[in-house]
Amino acid sequence: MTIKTKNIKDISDGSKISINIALIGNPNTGKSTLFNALTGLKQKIGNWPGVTVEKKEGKRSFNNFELSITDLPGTYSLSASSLDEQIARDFIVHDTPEIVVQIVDASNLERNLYLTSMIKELGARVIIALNMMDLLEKDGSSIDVQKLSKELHIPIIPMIANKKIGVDDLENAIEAVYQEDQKPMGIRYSKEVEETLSKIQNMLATIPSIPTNFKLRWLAIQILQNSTEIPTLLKRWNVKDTVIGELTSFGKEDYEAEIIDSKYEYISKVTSKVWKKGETKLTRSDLIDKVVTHKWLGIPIFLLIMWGSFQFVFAISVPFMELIDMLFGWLAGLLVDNIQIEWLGSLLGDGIVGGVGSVLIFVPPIFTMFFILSILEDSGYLARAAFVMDKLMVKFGLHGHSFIPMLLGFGCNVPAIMSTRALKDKKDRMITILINPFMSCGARMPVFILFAGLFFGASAGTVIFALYVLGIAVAILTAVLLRKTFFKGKSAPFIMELPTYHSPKLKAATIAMWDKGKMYLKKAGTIILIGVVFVWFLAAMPFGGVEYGGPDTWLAAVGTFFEPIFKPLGFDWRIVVALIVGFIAKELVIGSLGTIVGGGESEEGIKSAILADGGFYALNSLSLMVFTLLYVPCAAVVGVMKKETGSWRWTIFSIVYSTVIAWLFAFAVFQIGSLMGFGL
Amino acid sequence: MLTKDVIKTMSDETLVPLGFVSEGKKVRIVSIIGGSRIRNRIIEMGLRKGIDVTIIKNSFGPVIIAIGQTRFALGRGISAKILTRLINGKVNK
Repeated sequence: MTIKTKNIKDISDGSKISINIALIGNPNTGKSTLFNALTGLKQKIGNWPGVTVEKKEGKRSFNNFELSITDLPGTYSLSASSLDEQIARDFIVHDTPEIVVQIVDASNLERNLYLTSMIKELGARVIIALNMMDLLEKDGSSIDVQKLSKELHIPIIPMIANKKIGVDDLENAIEAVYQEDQKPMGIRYSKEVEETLSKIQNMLATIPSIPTNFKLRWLAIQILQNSTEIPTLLKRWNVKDTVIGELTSFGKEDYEAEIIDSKYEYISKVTSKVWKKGETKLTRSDLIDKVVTHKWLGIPIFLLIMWGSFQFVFAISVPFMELIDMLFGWLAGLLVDNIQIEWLGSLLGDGIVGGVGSVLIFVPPIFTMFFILSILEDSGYLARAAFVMDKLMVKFGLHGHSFIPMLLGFGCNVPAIMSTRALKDKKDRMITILINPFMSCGARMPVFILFAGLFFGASAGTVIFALYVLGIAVAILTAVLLRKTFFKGKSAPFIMELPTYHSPKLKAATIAMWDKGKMYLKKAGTIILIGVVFVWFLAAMPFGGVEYGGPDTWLAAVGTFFEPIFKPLGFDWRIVVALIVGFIAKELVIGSLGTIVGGGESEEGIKSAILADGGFYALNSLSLMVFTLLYVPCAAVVGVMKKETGSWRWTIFSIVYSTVIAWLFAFAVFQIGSLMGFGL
Repeated sequence: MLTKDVIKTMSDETLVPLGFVSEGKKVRIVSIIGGSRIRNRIIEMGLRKGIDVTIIKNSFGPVIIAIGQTRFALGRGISAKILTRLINGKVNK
């Protein structure tokens, strides 16, 4: 082991040498698996768009080094045509990690090396982790790893990431490569391109404000192929408009194709020396696909899997829900009865324990929902669901890819909206984001379960299913409407890699369930707790003499003010209050109804209070469910929508539009129902 | 879909859009038509001139193709824009 003098000092201090590493790779190459193997930090292995959309970081120590590893989104290219690519590229450009470890699928060498060529162009030091070496023999292919490494001037470590084979070698390579300069790849473009590139490079070299570590050749290539974001980048360095104009005048769109071709040409030349390609054989995955994507069987299988998933969620969670309900009911009762100061007992019992309890009770179904979604993703089925739905989605101006965020929306709309980052076309992405809140998330389920269970008896399941379908229908109608008005044009072509089926891993699914579910728990402990206390406060004010949650409280005043708007939907002031509070988090609709109607300490309590109340009946609870399904998404979704659309205009549009739609549908339900004699 | 009559009239040089090649056939990509933006993205995913493609499924909805061990689903629109030539000599009926 050779340690440079500079580093020996570090070690004598007892401190470790820290190295920043970026992990990058094509989708479905086992990047998440390698990340887990390296960091021990557990995270999902998945294939749907956006599995590593969040910036994930982990640490690994060996010898005297501490690695900070950043997991970048899976991409085919760094041309920044999707947000994922942009995130990956910007990280390498601006955060300048010391080493970029690229995981490469050994069975698809050329395409993977194309990404390598782009990383090298950014001036990064690269190590290739050549994964899935064990699969090479299957189709009779082979790679001369040493020769390839020599040709590319890049260390290549053969690996089988899911068996942790090759991790030690990777460590050694990191130690060797660290602080060494790496030769660039030998890609040469045509004479015309090269000449123009050096002209641009010479011009760039005269601009002092460009950071010295910036790779001018890469910048020149971007200018040459007319990358749209180059003017903004140059402006950030205070480059004069006239200079920008002069630089961009070199650009021509045709150059991009030529540059891509030259890269592939070079890669083909290299791989032809070292790679023996295998024969394509039908695999077990292909046979499963023949059934799962079958003309007639595809959609029934999809519906069966969805139905089975819902059944599973409810079957598993009901016993746990009853348990939690009993526990909180008992605790709240204990507090109210035993605390001498009446208002404090009420705050702790009715307000906090009751309110939080009425939210926590829905932890079991929400956790199982995330568990099931993760199983569907890991197994590879989610990509097939997108496939099966493509034909239908095309009719609505979208394509199969947009269906995955829609399905994820059943869990929670926040990660679902974030997963749209993998969509390449901006209009497709905007539509997919804007329709997502209509996919009924887990937090709306409690309202359905409670009211459908109370007033629809044996057909409760059907009512809930119909609500989900209504949500999908409104989403699709909205998509059609948006495509015909604001986002005219055709959707981007549908191309999706179909990952090989894996048997889902229980451990990975459990971890995913916990990772996502804990967001919900955290919410219950923070924003929902505050909301509940706030509602309790309004329900108890003004101090002295008023009946808690009664018609003389401040809460009633707020509700009564808005009541006229909601009267035609069959809502009285109490429901209005619950709905307003529901904007903070949809879980609060039930929580605050519990507070107002009373019996808030347990679900059973709320149920009997609602039944005894007389203000709730089948028709207005149906109208309430429809309204809850469709109206303004919760604050967290509004936040993520603003972030992902980058536009307040569209965020506000979504808020207004969804609320108007909710009002119209609930109005129709209540009025038509009343005419048919289903009213009170 | 390729009917038998159409196949009979085809020589080895005939270009066939990917979406019209029947299941189990192997073809080589000759060119990709359409806007440069879309074309470049497809090429970056590894679907480019000179690459051999096996059709795994082509009956309903998107086409499933194989390049080595990788599988892609391609929408109808895009698979009409990828022009291919049948390889392995004659077309087996």
